[in-house]
Amino acid sequence: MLDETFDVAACLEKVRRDDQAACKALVEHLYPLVIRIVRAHLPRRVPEEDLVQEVFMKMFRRLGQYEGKVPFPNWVSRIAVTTCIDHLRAQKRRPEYRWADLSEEEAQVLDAVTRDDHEPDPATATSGRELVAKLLDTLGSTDRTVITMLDLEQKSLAEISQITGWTQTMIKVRAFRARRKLQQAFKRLQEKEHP
Amino acid sequence: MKRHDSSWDRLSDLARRAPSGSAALEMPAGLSTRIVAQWLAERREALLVSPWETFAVRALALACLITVLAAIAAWPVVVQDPVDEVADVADPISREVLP
Repeated sequence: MLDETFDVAACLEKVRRDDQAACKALVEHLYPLVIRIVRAHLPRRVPEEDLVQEVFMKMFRRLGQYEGKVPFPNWVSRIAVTTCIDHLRAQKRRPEYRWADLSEEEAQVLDAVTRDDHEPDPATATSGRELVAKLLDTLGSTDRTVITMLDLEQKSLAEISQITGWTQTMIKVRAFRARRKLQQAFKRLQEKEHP
Repeated sequence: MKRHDSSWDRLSDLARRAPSGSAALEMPAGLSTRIVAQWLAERREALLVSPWETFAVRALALACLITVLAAIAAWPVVVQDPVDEVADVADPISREVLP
């Protein structure tokens, strides 16, 4: 993922002296990390490039606050996640999807995952991801972030705690509530299918 | 953790198997240049504003100091008993009016 040979400390020294080439090198080095986070937590109607740009601008502005207590990529990850959460929080309206809002493939996936006797076809994984995005849209910003990290990125509680600054207890409670809301969202979709 | 115990578990498991499109992790052309240009422009602007901010803060501190010194210098006048002044003015009148 990130280039292990890249000397972050030396680059940061140059960035602090406003070295243009070093600034560019730092952005290019961290881009894969930032884009993964932005794509995983991307709010609706926010272009990913704008969000990436915002994350890097915040990184440069706060560089004076970086004390080196955590690895620099972790510090940047935290900025990226909190920026995404801020944007998710700003989206006050949460859609409530109906069966009719789903594409044919998404409806098939929903049918497959809600039947205990039926294992979903791996070929429908992309539709599955789109359905997941729709279900995540129905959650609040914090719940969505927790569920994305836990269930989709399969991060540990410790990792999530390090990135977000939330306590592990809070993450567990949020995850429990979010999964319950997701189950309710599933039920609503099915009820609307058979009113 | 018990897996596949709910529809959500089955769906998230399926979604994880979706191709991630690693090629798309490449940075769009010109994005790094744009970000750095914006940052350096912001820095330059901050450096231009900074002397004025410094001047304004120092001017405020100086104004506060002058106010305090003026208050100290004028303190004896402020604490002077106003009754004496009234008495000085009143005395000639009282001498004229009263027997």
